[in-house]
Amino acid sequence: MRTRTLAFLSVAVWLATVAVGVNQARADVAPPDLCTSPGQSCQNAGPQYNQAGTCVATTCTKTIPSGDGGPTTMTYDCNLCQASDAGTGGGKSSSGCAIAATGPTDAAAASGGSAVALALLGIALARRRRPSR
Amino acid sequence: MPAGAARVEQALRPLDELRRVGLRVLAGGWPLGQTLAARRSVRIPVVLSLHALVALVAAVFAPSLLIVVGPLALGVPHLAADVRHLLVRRAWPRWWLAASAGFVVSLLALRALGEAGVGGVSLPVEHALASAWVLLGAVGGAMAAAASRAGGRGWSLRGWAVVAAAAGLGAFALGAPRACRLVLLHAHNIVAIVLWLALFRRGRLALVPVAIALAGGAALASGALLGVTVRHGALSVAGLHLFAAADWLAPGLPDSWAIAVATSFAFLQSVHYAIWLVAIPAGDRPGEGGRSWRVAFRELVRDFTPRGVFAVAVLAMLVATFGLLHAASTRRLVLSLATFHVWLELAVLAYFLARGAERTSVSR
Repeated sequence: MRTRTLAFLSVAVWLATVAVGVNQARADVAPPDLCTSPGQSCQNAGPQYNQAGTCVATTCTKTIPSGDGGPTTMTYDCNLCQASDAGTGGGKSSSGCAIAATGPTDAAAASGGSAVALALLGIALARRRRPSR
Repeated sequence: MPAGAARVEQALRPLDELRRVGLRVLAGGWPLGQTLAARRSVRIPVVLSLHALVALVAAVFAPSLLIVVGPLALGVPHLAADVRHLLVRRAWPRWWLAASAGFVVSLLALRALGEAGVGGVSLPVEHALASAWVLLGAVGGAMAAAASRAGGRGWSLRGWAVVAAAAGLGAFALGAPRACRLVLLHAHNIVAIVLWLALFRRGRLALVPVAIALAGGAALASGALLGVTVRHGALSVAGLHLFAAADWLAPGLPDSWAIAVATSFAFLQSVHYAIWLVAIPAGDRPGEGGRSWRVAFRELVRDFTPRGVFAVAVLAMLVATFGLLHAASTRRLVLSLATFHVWLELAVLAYFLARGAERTSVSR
């Protein structure tokens, strides 16, 4: 078997196995409720950043150390995705971003498993097709 | 050479004259200047070091400027340099070139569909494809190394390690796609430095600008210079506020740290453009001498064909023009469509790491 065929075969196996895990991705960095174009629809509204909404130009704030060492709050313009029933007043008191719980997931496990499967396949193929020069 | 290309080459004559005068002034009378004029392996690290210092100052006082202008002005040329120096000018086997072309087109298509709002295009699907590219690079490199060794002793430990790392990256990309995208966004600036050091560097002097870049990036990310930025810097440039950039670049981090990371990103992004547009092109040709603008253009035409160069130039001008009119949306679109080049760099790096550390050969 030629080298390129073997390489393509390995990657094809990888693709096939990880495809199982693709739809299972759950825990990750949550998509923040930021958006780019005010007035357009968006899909990252709500507390879980998974609701349909509208992109709204608003004011956000950040708290940073001031010159004398104490905290100071500064405002800046930002666009946030707000759920249709959430109203448009206010603004946001932080960066508007959050990290969801991360850790081992079904998808990660499936991907890791496929990696192991790939490694095993590679070992088998490498031993079987070792050149006899 | 076609008439259009010949006209461009003719138009570059004044630049060459300027360059000739500049080199004569540089070399006039002092040994360091003569060394700089004569030896590219000295000149490039010096230029990169000066650039890194200027970029560091800009990252402190106008980080948003770097974040906005970089992709709009240099995004397309740097993508072209990516493809040119990692694919076109390398003596790759045909199957790898064909596979890479397929991956590039597929990833571009997926991004374009995603930007167009077509349903069914998810980040994990994109990452599965891209991870397969990196894995293919690792497997191909390990096999190339095995095939080149006398006695055909199978894959080396190095090859296995790179394949395992590529598989691990794929697992991460699929298990936590958004986190992976963020990590790659930041890491790919460093990947440019790694690629330059591993494949295109000439001499140890190259370590000087690398040290400046790493120290500067770390200093900015630590927040040590954040007070200067907030008190004296231009926080908002072309509609992009540094704090808003921090929301995108470092979601979930405490405010101060997120802003510091954003300034560090601005600096390292600028460094990575310099690596791709100055250092790697200079390291990807033999000898120590310089190269006139006309010769550089001729070589560009040889690598990309006249139509390819024309397409790159038109695309670069389009991005710059739209960037002047709609900076935020153009920048976002460029960065989105350019995602493929991050994976290209990783796939090529995986190949060469798995194959061994020998320098790349020029194909033509």
